[in-house]
Amino acid sequence: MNREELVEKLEVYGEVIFCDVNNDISYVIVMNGWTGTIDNFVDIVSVEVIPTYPQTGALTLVDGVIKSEFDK
Amino acid sequence: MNNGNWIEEWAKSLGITQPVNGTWIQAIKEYYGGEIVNGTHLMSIVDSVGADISNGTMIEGLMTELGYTKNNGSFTAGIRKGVIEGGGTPPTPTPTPPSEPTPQGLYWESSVGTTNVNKSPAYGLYDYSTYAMIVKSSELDEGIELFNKLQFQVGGYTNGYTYSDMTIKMYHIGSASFISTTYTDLRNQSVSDETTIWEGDLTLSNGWNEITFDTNFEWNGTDNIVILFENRNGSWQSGYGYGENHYVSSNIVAYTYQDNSYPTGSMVKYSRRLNIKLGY
Repeated sequence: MNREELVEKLEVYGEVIFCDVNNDISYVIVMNGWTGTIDNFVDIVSVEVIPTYPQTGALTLVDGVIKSEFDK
Repeated sequence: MNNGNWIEEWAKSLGITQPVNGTWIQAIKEYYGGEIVNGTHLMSIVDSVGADISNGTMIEGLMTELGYTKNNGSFTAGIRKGVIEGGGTPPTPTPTPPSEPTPQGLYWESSVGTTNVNKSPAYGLYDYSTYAMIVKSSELDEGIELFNKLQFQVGGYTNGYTYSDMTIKMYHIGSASFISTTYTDLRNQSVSDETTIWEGDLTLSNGWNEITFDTNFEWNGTDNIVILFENRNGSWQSGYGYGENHYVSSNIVAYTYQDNSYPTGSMVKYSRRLNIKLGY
């Protein structure tokens, strides 16, 4: 997966707090001030993350903060 | 005080109001029951209360058994002191307390599975999390009385990863699964004997981690038990891992997580449980 391309797409909608490998099986994205919808986020990760980490371990959008974990 | 008849004072201290056949010692003998031994009432009292008179006089053994102490070197004066100065009530022998259970240096071990579950025993992606699991009494070994250690198996953690402000509690629970809506404080579950077994900053290593309890948990031998992890770290940190889990049965686990404040609402129920060992 191309992290640089992923970050560029995410930054359209908010501040990237964390976007990286978390451990041997998971990838974590944390966003602040997300201005889009949850579907906007899902559209991006479906292309950039899901092919490598197909299982969604967590995905929440609360007060503009996205917390997400994707697992192998 | 009648200095000449300490036996009468002793009898009256027992609530006896009249002598029997003109003697107070016979009245005391009838108070304690039993038959005349060796032709003496005093010996029959010794026999009735099971006093040991092998290492002293009959009166010394008897008074010791009944819980009197000497006063100025005299048992009869001790009786007087207990009876007269103590308000008319003889001293009561102190019962031997039941022995307290102690750890046996053994471990009960759960099944060991290989399912990676990021919510157990805490979820590092969020500021706060709660994780509760039931251990059924039918799973536990016979002879367990007191739990004093907990081991659990994790993987995927960055070396030195720490959950600050972690509290671990244990409870008895009547049900073998979490029922209905399960809140983080378990308020609508059939729990009792809430015990905070450990508090502190929990630093994890991949593999088995062991916690020695601050307060041991005494199992009643009947009920199931709950182990509850309250992660009140207050911030999230990357590099968190997952607990190694095994399948048990529906609703054996409940968990939740959120940011900004400790969760108080309902939890998600789950059928796989963290691999654990309980020291006892």
